[in-house]
Amino acid sequence: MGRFILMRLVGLVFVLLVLSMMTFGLMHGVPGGPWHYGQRPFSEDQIAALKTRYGLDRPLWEQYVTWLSGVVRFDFGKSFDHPDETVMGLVGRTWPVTLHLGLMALAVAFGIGIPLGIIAALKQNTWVDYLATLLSVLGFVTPHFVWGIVFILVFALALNWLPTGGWEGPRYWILPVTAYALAPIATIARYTRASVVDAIRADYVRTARAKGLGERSVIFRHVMRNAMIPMLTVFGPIIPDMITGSIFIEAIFRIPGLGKFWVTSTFERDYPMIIGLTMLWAVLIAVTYLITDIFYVMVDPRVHYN
Amino acid sequence: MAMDKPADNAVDVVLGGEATDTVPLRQKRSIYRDAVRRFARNRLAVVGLILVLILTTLALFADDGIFAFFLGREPQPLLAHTPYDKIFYGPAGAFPSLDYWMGTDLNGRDLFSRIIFGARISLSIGFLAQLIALGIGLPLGGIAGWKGGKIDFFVMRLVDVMSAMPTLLLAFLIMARLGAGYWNVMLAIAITSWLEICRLTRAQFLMLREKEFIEASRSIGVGTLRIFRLHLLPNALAPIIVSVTLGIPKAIFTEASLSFLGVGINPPMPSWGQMLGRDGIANMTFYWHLALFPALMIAFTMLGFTLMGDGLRDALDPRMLKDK
Amino acid sequence: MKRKIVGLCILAVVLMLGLAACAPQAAAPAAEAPAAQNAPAAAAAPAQRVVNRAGVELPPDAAPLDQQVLRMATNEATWLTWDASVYDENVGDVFAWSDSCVRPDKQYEPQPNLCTSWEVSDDGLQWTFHLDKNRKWSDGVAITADDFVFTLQRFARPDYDFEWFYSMAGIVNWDGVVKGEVAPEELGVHKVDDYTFTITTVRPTPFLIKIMADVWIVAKHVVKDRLDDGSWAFNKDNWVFAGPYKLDSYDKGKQMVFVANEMYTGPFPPMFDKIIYSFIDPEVRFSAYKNGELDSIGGGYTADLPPSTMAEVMANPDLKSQLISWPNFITYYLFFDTWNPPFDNLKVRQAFSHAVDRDKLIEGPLQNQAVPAYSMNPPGFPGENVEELKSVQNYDPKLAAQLLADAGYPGGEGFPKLTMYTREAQPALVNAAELIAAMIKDNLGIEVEVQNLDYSIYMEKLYAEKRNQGGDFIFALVPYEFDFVDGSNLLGVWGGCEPDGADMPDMPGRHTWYNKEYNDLLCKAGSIFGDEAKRNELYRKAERILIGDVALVPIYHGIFVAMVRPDIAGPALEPNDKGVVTWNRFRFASREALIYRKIMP
Repeated sequence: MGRFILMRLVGLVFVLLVLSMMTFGLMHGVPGGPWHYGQRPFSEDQIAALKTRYGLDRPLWEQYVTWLSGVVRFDFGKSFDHPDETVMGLVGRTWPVTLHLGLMALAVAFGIGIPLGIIAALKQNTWVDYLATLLSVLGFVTPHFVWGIVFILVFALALNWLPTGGWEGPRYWILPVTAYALAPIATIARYTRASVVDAIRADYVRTARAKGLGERSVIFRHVMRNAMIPMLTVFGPIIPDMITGSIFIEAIFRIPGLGKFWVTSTFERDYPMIIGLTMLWAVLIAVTYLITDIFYVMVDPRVHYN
Repeated sequence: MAMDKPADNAVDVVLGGEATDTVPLRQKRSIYRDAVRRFARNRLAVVGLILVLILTTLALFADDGIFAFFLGREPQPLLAHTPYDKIFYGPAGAFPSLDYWMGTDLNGRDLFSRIIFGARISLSIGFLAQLIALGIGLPLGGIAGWKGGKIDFFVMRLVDVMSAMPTLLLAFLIMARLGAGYWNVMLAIAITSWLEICRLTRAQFLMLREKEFIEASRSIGVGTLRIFRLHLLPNALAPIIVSVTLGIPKAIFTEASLSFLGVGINPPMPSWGQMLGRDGIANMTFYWHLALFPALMIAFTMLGFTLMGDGLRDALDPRMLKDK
Repeated sequence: MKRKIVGLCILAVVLMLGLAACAPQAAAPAAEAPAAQNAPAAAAAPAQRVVNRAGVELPPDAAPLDQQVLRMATNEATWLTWDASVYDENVGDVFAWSDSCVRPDKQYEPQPNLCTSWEVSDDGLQWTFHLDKNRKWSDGVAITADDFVFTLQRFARPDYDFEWFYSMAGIVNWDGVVKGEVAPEELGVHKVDDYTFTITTVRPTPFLIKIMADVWIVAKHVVKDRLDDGSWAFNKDNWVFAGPYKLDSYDKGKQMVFVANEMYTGPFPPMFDKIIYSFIDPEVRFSAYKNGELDSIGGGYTADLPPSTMAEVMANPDLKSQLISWPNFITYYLFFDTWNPPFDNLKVRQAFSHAVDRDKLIEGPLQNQAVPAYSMNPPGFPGENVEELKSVQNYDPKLAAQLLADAGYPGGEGFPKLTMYTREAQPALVNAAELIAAMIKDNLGIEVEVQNLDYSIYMEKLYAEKRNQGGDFIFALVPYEFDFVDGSNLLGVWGGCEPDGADMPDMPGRHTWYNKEYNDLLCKAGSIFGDEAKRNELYRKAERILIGDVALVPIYHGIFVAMVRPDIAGPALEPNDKGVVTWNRFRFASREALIYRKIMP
């Protein structure tokens, strides 16, 4: 097991290297730069001077090596768009808020989604199932930015129960967390239901029941363990997705988090930020996959890795 | 668990009555018939199917392009009232009325017609993108899960690398290089969707590989490809089907987000995502119909494919192939 | 005994009354007795005038000091200082960090500000500016000619994205300094003494004074030789200001807070005590405004007030009364690559110019935001010729179709499929572009697809096109907003004085269109001193060529709209002599400095 984890971590480093090279190449391949174009054309000299200011005049491989040598010292460089802050500093300042929003939304999503899915699965094809299915799907069918705006219109402007935006206290959390959690609730409920239904039909369940095991024991000891595997496959990636923020939710509810940088750094050609965020995302995803793979082994003793 | 019909393939003969693993031809047909029966009994699934069929009809018959193509003339609107770019068909920003069933947009174009044509564009993007994703993800994931070892390692690292690439950046870069538009959006979505199918397939194959009946098949020398086709795929299919069916509206969502950020489908071609993400959101507080109808259509599409996907999953559940 | 006590009491009461009567006069030295007596009968009416922390006294109907806080919204940008970037600076550069030599009044005439007077030499080449000796930076250091010289030398560098603006002034050695070939000290800006400096130009430039309105000085004693990238500006120790407000705090991701600058002695005293700029995205500002969280929104390019919001406002009398709108000097136009087919054919361009129904555009996607444009110079702009040029590119679909047929593409046959590019356009503008595309298809039979490009990519394509490096960037929609109010400005987008021995790509103007006579007219008009009428006559002549040759198809001139709470009042909100309230962008009379919150009756 330990060797397996070690191998995966080595693999992670490899992935990060490849990814960083790919990202580097791709982002420099897009026309434009971190500077702003005026109403009149720049001359060649001016473009050259601008490039020098941002260190973009050196050959690509040299820029990459410079970046890499900074990274090993945990220095991801200064953001072009926020010139007085480093990438690490910027992320450090804004990610906690996003993390907070994401974790709350995840808690709500799992807290509602899993029970909803189990109930639906246990009462398969009854009206309970249909209702639970429909309820969970409801949050899914419309993009969350639409829900966000609808919530503001209804709860903040029309009814005046809650503020229109900001992140100052618990009252401010309610609407964004709800809007953000709706879609994952649906996904989680759906996959929970599917997996549990799958597992419930297994013969060993029938056997267990025949043996006289109580229903709850059947469910928790047999059904859930087997249902977990496909569930984990889907739930794993939801977590990094949620904790890296949604630009839409953060923009609509004026939350000072990390979400907007995904978009703004691309549009602004803030290369250090783009590659910094990509690395962050990569690490989160890879760690999530590693953890889910470890869970597979723990949950299903027949699974083993070469 | 006993089979209903006698086996007619070598494996079953050898293994005698232990019939949890093999799927003889006749057996397979009846399993699918069972599946259809199970599907039909699931009311929600049928509702989903009906929705999908309605949407597909809208997409196919928005105009009579199919007939026009063979008859060699210009397509005329069929289910839609006008072509989607007919400006000032009505007054600008009109609300729904008897004349304009869903109102008009700010250019005076009939919203109803644009929605119908939008079905064609949104559904085709979703469907084709998923098809491409399937074509990439299924074989890769299957081989990774089956072979394990080095191949698994490299495929999973590829998946890690690709999924570590933020969707938006990739989409934006594709758009920047090739220009925005229909095919490029589809490409961008496909490239970011195959990952989930690959992982699902791999996970399923990984799990199934360890089952006794597979070991048994291998031990008597059944070819790998045959095992894939007859045993692994049908078992692994269920979550993949769910994934693909859910992936179609997800693709529509992605396209809506891309349009929201300005890098989606090019006007005047309407897609629900573009109509919602661009005009709809900006004008929601007054011209509510500009947002409501595309949102509703996206919602119905989601609902339809979701319910149908779930129904398929339940129906196709190869219960007889589960281990003891 | 009792009588003594009563007497003492009466005395005490009388004394107290006497003190009470005297007190207000002592505490409010400037308040006249009538003012105190005329104070509104409302219960909380102050007997004295409200004075903010800068010592500015507010009008009698001003709300109490703690309410003199203005709440606005803006996008958070990259820089805190103007001289690092104009396009990416946080609001606040203008009236906080800095101040300018002159400031245009509501009639767009430059009025003295930091420069109290100026004169021009007889040959029109040398300007001498005299500074106000009393003006100081917020740390007490005097504002001197050193700051002006330092600033202009600093602007003349290749990586300053607004350098092109000042290059229009034609200062001696400007291009050389920008290229790095000439030392900054050789720039045609020289200090005479602490409060006098001169600017020398290459040729007579009558509009130099208007460009000086946008020279926002940088404090030499703070900036010295610091980096040009402006990162020094985030350090509180470097916060030194010349304008009516100064930055008090900057909360990243949240807001900027400005407070009245007590060191300011210029013509626009700050009335509000505090200004809070929250970083809020345009899409959600209207909700915040309706909710009472903001005092004003709109007034710029942002999508604060999209068509649906405007429709909602117009339908609601209460909201409508809070709306102000004024014309902006900006032209949105279609342009072509006239150096290559198919647009090198005049008839093709003319066909396009007659195929667009601007009125329909204004009715539809551009409602409440625009007026139709048939010329480059908008109404009211110096040198404009709107009335005469209105008919040159009028809407005439039959004529359009005929012209296209004459050009060899009857019914659009044989004409390549076009892509109309837009530059990071707001949804309303993309709608407008779609409408134009549809009109072209209907009237001319040509297929047009609209593609909204990222700003940088668009500009790169534009520049590549200008360098005649080919590509498909041959047809696009773009705006140009005025830089200063002078006839040379908007027309200068299309030409100007020709540099010696220049090839086509190096010709002035940012588009691929060239006309020698046009350039000569512009060059000549740009050098005439003291005869505005003559200059404008020449500009009118030039514009006739521009429009007649269909270098562009002007589509519309933008209107700015803004919402302002009814309890905000002040000189900035009073109309100009055309009866228009120009709640302008910062370049005009400091809007934030001339308003306050009043008590509502």
